[in-house]
Amino acid sequence: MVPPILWRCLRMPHIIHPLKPRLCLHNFTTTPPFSAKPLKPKGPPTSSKMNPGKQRMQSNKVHVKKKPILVQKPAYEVGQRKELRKRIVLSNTNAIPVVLPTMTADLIGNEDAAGAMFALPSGEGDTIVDRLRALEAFQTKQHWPFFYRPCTLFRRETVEVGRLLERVVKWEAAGEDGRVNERAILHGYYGCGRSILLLQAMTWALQKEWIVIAIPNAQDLVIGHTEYEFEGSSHLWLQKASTTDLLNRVLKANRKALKGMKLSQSYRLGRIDEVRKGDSMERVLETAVLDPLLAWDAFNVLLGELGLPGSPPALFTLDNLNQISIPSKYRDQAFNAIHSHDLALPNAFLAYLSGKRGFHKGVILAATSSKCSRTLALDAALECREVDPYERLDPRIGPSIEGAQIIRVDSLSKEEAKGLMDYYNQSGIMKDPVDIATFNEKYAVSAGNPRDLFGTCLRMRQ
Amino acid sequence: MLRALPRCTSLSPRSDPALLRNFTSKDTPPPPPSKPIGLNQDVLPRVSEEAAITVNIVSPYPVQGIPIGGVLRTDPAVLQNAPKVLKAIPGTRRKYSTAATPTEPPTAGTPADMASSTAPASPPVSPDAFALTIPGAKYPLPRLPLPSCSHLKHRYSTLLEQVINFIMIGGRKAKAESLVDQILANLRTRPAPKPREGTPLLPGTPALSTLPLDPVQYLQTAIDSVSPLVKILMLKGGGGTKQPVPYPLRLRQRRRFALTWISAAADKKKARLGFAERFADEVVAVVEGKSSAWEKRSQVHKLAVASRANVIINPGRTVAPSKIKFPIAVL
Repeated sequence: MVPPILWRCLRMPHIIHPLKPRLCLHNFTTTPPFSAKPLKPKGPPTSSKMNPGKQRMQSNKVHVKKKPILVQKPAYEVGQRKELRKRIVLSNTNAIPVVLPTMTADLIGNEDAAGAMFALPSGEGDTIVDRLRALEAFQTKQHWPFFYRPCTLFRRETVEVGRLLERVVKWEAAGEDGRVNERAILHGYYGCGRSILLLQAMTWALQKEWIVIAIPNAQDLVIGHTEYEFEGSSHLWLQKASTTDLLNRVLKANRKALKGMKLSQSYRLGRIDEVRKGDSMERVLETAVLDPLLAWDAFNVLLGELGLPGSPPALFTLDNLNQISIPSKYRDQAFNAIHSHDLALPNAFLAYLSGKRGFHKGVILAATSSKCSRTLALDAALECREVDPYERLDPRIGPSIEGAQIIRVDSLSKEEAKGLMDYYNQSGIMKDPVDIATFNEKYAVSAGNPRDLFGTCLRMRQ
Repeated sequence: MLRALPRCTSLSPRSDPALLRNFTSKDTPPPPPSKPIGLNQDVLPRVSEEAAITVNIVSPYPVQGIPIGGVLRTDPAVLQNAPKVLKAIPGTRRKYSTAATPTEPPTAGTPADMASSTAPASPPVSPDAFALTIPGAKYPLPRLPLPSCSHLKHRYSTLLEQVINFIMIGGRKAKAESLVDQILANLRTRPAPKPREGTPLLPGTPALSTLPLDPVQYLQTAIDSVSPLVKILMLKGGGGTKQPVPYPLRLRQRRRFALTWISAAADKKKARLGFAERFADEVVAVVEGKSSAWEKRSQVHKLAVASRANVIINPGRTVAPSKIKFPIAVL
């Protein structure tokens, strides 16, 4: 039976979609029958007993079964291992929750609180911990996963760091141009808590709605893992991918403060994009995060706007300062190692640290690291000692940190160590009661070093 | 000869006071100091000594120095030339210390909410009556018997020592120790194991929810629970057959079997985890009753029950089990 649709097709005009190619259907084929596969030849007769030659052949043949080559699945997906390595766990439901006061902004510079433990603010609707996480302020080896919630010790050095913030808030020691910039370097032995001090400074700054720009690990900038390019005008090597990451973190952590910042003038981002006067800084960064080509310009816009009067105060931090005091792993066109100070991001930070550039109101904090190869020039600069003219030290390192206050992070005092050990005990992690004998033993063994104190209190063996 | 000696010397205090160091008994007066004999026997004293003697003769009180504070207050010229230390603080007393060993500054005004973190005082030496019996002793004698961890070479838990030695490959003990630390840290951070009925955990095991806070207890619960009571020896029987003979194990041997099974099960894990994570996973599985180590244990125990007739009853024989031709019980 002929379907009625056929008649309709003939009557109606054929609609061809402008973009879709029309299907070519043929009712016949032009392929000759010869190109078809030939039939298989008939197999040997089933009874092979009558064929002695073949039997011998079979018996002489050594049968080696070839194993099918299996395509092995990769052990990890791309980026999975890095994710596992960098995963940060901030709570442990096994531990006993300890009731502690919250580390609020009114504790800034409070001397009386030194020696006590404080919990990071993590109440209902409080996103400080999430914002700190976005800034990568927490690190993997800081023993967060053993405790119920993140808590930190308020130390003498915390008071000193708080004083920096306090001075900026109170507009003390303003320069002749009306700017307040406090610059400091945290320096001390291994495991003495420099990164935790940075974390505490960031906690306060975020609570006060400052703009926090944090470079969590300076090593990432110099090990040559990301792309880089030379910029002719400034003679610096830009790292656009790293800058995009940085802006992403800044945007995630400071969204509210950035929304309130309005541009004072129009800027050009890259070649085409333009942001107008009165736009919020959040919009600028959102544009830049999507396109690495705009990142460096957007970062400069952010830094420039923070230097103008009326802008919110800023906190600019960098961890592992030693890493940018040694030659980087990047190479220039002549295959010479690029000096770390010629990379744009470290250069920008050091300009602020040495006071060449400045925020309107701001604190610039750097922390040294003990996990780095020797940096003789930086050590000499930190000790403020005269350099022997026959010593071959990098001449650019000393001026790069000139004028910055050096905060010596010392080992814990007895009060602080007692507070920390009480916290371990109350969390149920350390089983021994903190009596005088235990305390003195652990304090003596660890020499007051916080990292060693944790090990002494928790490890079954020392 | 060696057996004849006592294994440890008595730690009771020695009553002979003459044997104690830095102590001279009042009963035995010290010998008179022997005079030097020679050329320098009767020489004049030194200049300073002579001066001291003269001063003693002239005035019975030695001349005291003038207090510097007074001079500084009266004479402005002295103040100008005074060293920097004195200039900064015109009083006689410095506010800071120049001692080589830093001292703790006294903290004033500790807030009330920091009651837990007050500074501990220096260890008070308890006036132990026993200690006072020893003249010149500052600290009391340790309480006896000494705890098991006080021995230098056996100060850690025996279980941990065995686990470390089991994990160690090629003599890299530090590596093995850090792996065990990782295992314990892993056990701390994992959620508590869920109790499962029918898991023959060791009687006296604490509540499973408390185990993560005590990872050594956790590990011990797992290892001691799956460890077999016996091993099966295949001894030669009559007529060329082999007889399964159950043989009791000591604690260390039992733990070793358990460790072998647990690590064998951990190695079969498909997810590519680190060793510590795999091992910790398996320890949790053992406590939850899911591990394949339990099957191995029950297999051994079943065979042991089936061949219980072959048990060697007289364990007093000194012949090594491998040397026994046939089980004595069969005879």
